[in-house]
Amino acid sequence: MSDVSGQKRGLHGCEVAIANVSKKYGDMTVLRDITMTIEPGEFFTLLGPSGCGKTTLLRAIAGFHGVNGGQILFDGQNVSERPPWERNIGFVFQNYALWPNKTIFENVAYGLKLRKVSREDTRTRVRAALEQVQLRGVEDRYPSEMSGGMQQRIAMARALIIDPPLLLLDEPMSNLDARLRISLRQELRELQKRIGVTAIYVTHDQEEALEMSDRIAVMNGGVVEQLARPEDVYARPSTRFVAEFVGDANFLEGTIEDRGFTLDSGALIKLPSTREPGPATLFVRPERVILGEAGQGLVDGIVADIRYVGRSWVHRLVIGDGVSLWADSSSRLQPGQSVGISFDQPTFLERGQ
Amino acid sequence: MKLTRDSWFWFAIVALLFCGVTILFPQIRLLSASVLGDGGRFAIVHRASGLEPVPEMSSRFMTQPLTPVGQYKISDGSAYDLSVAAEGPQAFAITGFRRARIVPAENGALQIESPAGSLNVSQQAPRGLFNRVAPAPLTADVQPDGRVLFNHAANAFVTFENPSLVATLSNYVSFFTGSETLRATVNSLLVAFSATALAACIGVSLAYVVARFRVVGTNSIVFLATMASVSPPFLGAYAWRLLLGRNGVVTNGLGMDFSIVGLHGVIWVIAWLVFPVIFLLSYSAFRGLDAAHIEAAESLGATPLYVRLSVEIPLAMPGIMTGLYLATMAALSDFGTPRIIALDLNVLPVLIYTSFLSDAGRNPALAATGSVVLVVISSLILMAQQIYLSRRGFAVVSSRQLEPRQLTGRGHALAIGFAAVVLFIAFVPHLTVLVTSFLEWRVGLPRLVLTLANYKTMWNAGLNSAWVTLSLGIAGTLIAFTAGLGIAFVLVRKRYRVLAPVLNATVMMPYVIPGTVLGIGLILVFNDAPLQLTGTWFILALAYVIRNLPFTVKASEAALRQVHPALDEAGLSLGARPIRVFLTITAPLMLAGAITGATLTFLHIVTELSSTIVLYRPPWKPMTAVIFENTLVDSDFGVSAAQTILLMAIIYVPLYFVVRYGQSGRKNNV
Repeated sequence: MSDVSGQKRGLHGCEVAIANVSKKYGDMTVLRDITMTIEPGEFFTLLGPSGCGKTTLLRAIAGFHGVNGGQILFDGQNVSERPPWERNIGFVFQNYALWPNKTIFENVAYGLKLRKVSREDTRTRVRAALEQVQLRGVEDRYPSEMSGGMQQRIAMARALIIDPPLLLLDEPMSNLDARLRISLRQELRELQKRIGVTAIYVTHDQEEALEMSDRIAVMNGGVVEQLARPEDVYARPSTRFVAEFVGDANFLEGTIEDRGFTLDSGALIKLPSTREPGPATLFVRPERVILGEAGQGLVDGIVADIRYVGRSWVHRLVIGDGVSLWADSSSRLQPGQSVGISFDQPTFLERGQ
Repeated sequence: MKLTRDSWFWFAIVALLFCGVTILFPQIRLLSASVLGDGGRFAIVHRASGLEPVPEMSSRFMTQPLTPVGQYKISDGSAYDLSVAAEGPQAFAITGFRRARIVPAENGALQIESPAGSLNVSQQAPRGLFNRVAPAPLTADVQPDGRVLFNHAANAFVTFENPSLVATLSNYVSFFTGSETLRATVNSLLVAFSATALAACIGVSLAYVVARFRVVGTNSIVFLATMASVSPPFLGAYAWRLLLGRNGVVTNGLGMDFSIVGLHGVIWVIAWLVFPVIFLLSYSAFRGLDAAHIEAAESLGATPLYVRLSVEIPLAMPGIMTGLYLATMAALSDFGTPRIIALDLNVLPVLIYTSFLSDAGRNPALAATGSVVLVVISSLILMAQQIYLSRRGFAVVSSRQLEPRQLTGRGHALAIGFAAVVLFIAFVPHLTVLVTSFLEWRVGLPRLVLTLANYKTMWNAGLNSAWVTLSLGIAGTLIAFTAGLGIAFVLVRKRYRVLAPVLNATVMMPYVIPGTVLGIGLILVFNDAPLQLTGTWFILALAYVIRNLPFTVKASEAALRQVHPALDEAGLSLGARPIRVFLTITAPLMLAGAITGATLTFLHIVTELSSTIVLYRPPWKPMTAVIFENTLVDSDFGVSAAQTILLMAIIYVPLYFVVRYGQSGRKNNV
């Protein structure tokens, strides 16, 4: 936000407050009493599987549909009753929604034309907006002549040219191929930070969310399961759903006792616990499983099978009677080999979640 | 967003009001005209011999003699239960009115008001040739005992008429017991189903051959079929009668004892009229088959014949059935062909037309009843089609286009021969008209002298009707097209809870209303101030717009479904209001897809006959009406032919451009 570039006209990101928002389609509740505040200039991600309500929430913020309860506030002003064309937002659609019958120039200039900007001014601002997304000299071409990545940039330019204080992005990268998607992540993030717009980004891709966001709201079944910084969501998921959805995870069901954690199958993991005794689920990421000599770890296991995934080998270990545990390792072990297992950053979760 | 701030909501309301007044209301008027009968009447003649009822001047009222001779009981079975007895030579008394009141009316008539209703009473007294005394006037007095005493002229017929309308099914009873009306209904069904069956044999088999085998000139065959599908509906009848009528060119020339006049001729001509639509829909159904479905059957060991019967035809069936449905509807509601081919053959559209408009024997109640019967029949056919489609409504998404199969040399020749014969017969009318328009005509017979006289006559007579047709075509198309775009938007994007389904149902109603019925309905509604439109250009335009609204709405809906909603929302998010978004984004995107629909609308309008013939009044006389009337009076065949050629030019030039440039448009969907 410190970099004030030429095309900025006193722009600032706005604060978005969502207060007790609910949304129903008939009998189906899609959003359940959602409350959150998005800071000015923040890159905020709504992450979740399809049908979790993330797109519904984004479209409610845009005003494309109303809500059944609660309020949406921009900089403290209630906009819940305001139609989309009075909300002054930028929206980037999943399929870009570039108008195929208009040239790139006409597409990008649409918002300026509505605001009665002079022809000369429009031309300069369209050129600047396109340069901002690293496109030059494409004004007279049609969307169908552009690649997916270019269309995505044009959609961004069209949304940003009206200097909206809030940019809403609905899975804008899901139609791009994997390599392009990864290279666009940083570019988008840098652009957003440079112009200082508040961005709300919807995705189901956890890698994207972790890499780009200031904060992530993980949604499931119409509620926010966890709202936290990416590293907290990854390392300290508050629910089993979050742990499972973001990254790979091992879950071991058992009971916390004074001597350690007893698995349901009977094996004992000699793990000092900070929690009250009782039933719990032990959560640990595969890359946080440390393999060593048998008898040296918290518990012993046997290598059952091995997969090679490029950057490491993934071992399936069996502890006691049939409990499986996935562990990454940079070296390949032998099937049937006995290993000692210990954990870095193990987390206990409530059982039955 | 609040509903009242939504301009689309108001548009939908206005559209619904318009459709209600112009579509729904005329049909309700027709329905009510068919179930309302007059209240009935009875007449009494009082001669020197005594009092006597006149059954031939009575309806709904029954008379029974009572025991004292000369007294009668009169009743209509509901409100009135009266008895009548003579009171001297020129008077009689009626008992049974409770609290009667006499009101004098015009022309010496009276009105009896009682709790049962009111009756108009009048007398007709025969006047002797040399009688110089005016007949005694009709008077009535209520006696203290409640009787009504009537004094009248000597030998007078006294008529009692109930002027109010009562709900009755008598129109339907007489419709289904009358031999004439029943005959017309049976004929209509016979024509519709046999013509469709004949057309299906030709159309489906030709479609299969052309779609599934590699046949030279496939594109031309399809284009010719498309041309045939938009021909003026009376063209075939006119040309076939010219050739094979009682006095036809071929019949006379060969001295044949055969003519096309009659039921068989109507079926033959209508079959060729509706065959193109069956061909075109079956063709696209066969072309849309997925190669993998057929290869799957072949890989399991099915022979080509078995594949055809078990996979190809069943999968193409929904498309074929839609073609058959459209053909049946066209055949059922066709007015021109039976009227031209067989003047004495009654089918429902002709029956409705003659009973509504003919100078002699005008019977609006019969016309209304026939209209309702015809609409019910076509609704039943639509329902059958919908039930069929909902059971088998599978969308065949073709992942890979079928490769047409190679034919043997002999097979190929046979296929081309078949197509040539079919198309030749289909274009016999066009060729006939083209040739005869350049021949000299004398007393209704052509002579082999080439001339441009017919065109000259047409030119000299003025092209007024051509302008009427063109102006109606252009104005009607623009209105139907614009309304169609807007209504489609409301139906597809807005989906108001009650409003949208009601609007949809109303707009789609003309789909099952034959043109004749639509025309009569409009006359019933727009014959009086403040909306007196009958006989004007506007009522023709209105009829054409309504008739084509279902097609333009459906075409626009299809075009709109190709436009992703995000394209609208992108405009909204940038600050454009909904109407502006529609005008600058949605409508231009729909245009490419809807333009074909608009052209078809134009073609429908300029060839429309059945509603035109009911509605037009000079000077607003479209070409179809002019040509149709000329063909009926057996004169000026040459000029009619020239006019038909002009009409065909009006049709085929736009059609050519749509087919030529229609496919090459930029793909406008996301």
